[in-house]
Amino acid sequence: MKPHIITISNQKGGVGKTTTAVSLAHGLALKGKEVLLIDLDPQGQCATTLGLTPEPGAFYLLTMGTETHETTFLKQYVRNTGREHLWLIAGNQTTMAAQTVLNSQNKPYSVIRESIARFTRGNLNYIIFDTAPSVGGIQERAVWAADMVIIPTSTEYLSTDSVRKMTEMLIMLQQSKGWHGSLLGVLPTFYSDQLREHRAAMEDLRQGFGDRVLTPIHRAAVLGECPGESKTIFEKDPESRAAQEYQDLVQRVLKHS
Amino acid sequence: MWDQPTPQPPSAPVSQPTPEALPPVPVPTAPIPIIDQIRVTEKKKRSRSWDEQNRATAFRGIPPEVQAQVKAVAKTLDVTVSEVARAFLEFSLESLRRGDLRLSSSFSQGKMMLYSNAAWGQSAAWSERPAGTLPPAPKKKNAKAVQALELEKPWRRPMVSYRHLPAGVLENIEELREQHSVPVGEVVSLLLRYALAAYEDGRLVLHPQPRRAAHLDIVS
Ligand SMILES: Nc1ncnc2c1ncn2[C@@H]1O[C@H](COP(=O)(O)OP(=O)(O)OP(=O)(O)O)[C@@H](O)[C@H]1O
Ligand SMILES: [Mg+2]
Repeated sequence: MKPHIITISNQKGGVGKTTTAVSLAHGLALKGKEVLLIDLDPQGQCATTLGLTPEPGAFYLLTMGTETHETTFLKQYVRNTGREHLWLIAGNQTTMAAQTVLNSQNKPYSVIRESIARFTRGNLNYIIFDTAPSVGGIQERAVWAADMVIIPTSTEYLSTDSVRKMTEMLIMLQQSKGWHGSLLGVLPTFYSDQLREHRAAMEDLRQGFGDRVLTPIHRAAVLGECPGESKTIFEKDPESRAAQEYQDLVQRVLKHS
Repeated sequence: MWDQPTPQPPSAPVSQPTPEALPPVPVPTAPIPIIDQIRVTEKKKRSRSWDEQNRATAFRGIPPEVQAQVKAVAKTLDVTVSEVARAFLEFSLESLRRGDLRLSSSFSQGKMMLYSNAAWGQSAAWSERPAGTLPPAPKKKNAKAVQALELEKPWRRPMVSYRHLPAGVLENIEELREQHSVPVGEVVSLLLRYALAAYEDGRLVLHPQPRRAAHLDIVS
């Protein structure tokens, strides 16, 4: 069976993309799914969050061809995260260079999808992309590669503007670039129900996205502590509300894939 | 901000508004809520075959000791209980086809009971006492004994469910149940017992498949 490809994307920084990518990936792995997390952000935070070292895995994924020897080489960068069923292709600053290469060679939208096609004949169930807070070649191509897209967004003032921009991009890719994927949903993050501004942002999202607004992830100190300790929320505090909320996301994904 | 349909007088022109009148919205088809413009991920439709392959089948009336023995075998082999149950049921059904195992039912103690030609099958340990025919409980009984007696009532025995039982196995069980007019649990208990005995005396060998891929087979 082909793996489901999920891209976590929002050009706005610090909205919980990496937290979501890592939590979802580990949550699915804990359900026994084989999951490959791919970090397309030059900050390389997927690796550090999981206790590994940033490295040019993503660079090679983005720039190498699909010849057998290239795939053999790339396979060395598929890291065992020390967690059952969870694998990582890490990124680092070299991912920026890959962006330049992609742009200069004017690579098609399908380039990332084609590059990961080499992984789709094995026993993987999910490939999850974490992306950088920027617009540009890699982000759009990562979305194009996706079967489903999740847009995390904080519920602070004006933060939902970037959701609008993301949606425009999805519509553009769908209408004129032959993208076949779909939007799984918008994931409100850093949510505080006590704050009027947050409730207003939620209302705003619901008007635009209806039931595609996923169960919000509340602001939780424990989530902020995870990266420093190289733990996922399911390791740090599996009983926490945050773990439960990310568990809901895992269920949602399972139901839709 | 999500391009909600704005109420329009019925006479309002549907054509393009003038540039000055254009609201600062990015999507040209303004009145449609944004969600209607994007394809959204649909819930997966479970294929019938997937369901058939994965459905858990619940059985009532499997004696706890049989359940426990199956569980113990699964534990030793590091496979799931369902995998052991499936292998056991398949083995016993095959034995039936080959004629190694023969079943007969008879009316006994007020209900239909299933017997096999296997020696162990003669022991009444696995058969079920009919309702209301429990021997009078001994005067002094400890909690455990009470519990054990209670479990003798088939309807009190915990349900057990096994996943991934092939349709063929379930059909065979159903046929046997009809043929002998006994409860399904009794058929399954007998088949499991037969296989357990064969497993214990070494006639039946299970070959567990590795449950998890030891490595990531990313390129086939
Ligand atoms: N719900 C939350 N509550 C509290 N802190 C959170 C929450 N979600 C994420 N964080 C923390 O906020 C910071 C930013 O989150 P994260 O790195 O996941 O965002 P990002 O969108 O990936 O950022 P970037 O755009 O820089 O890649 C991290 O320190 C993270 O641990
Ligand atoms: Mg990030």
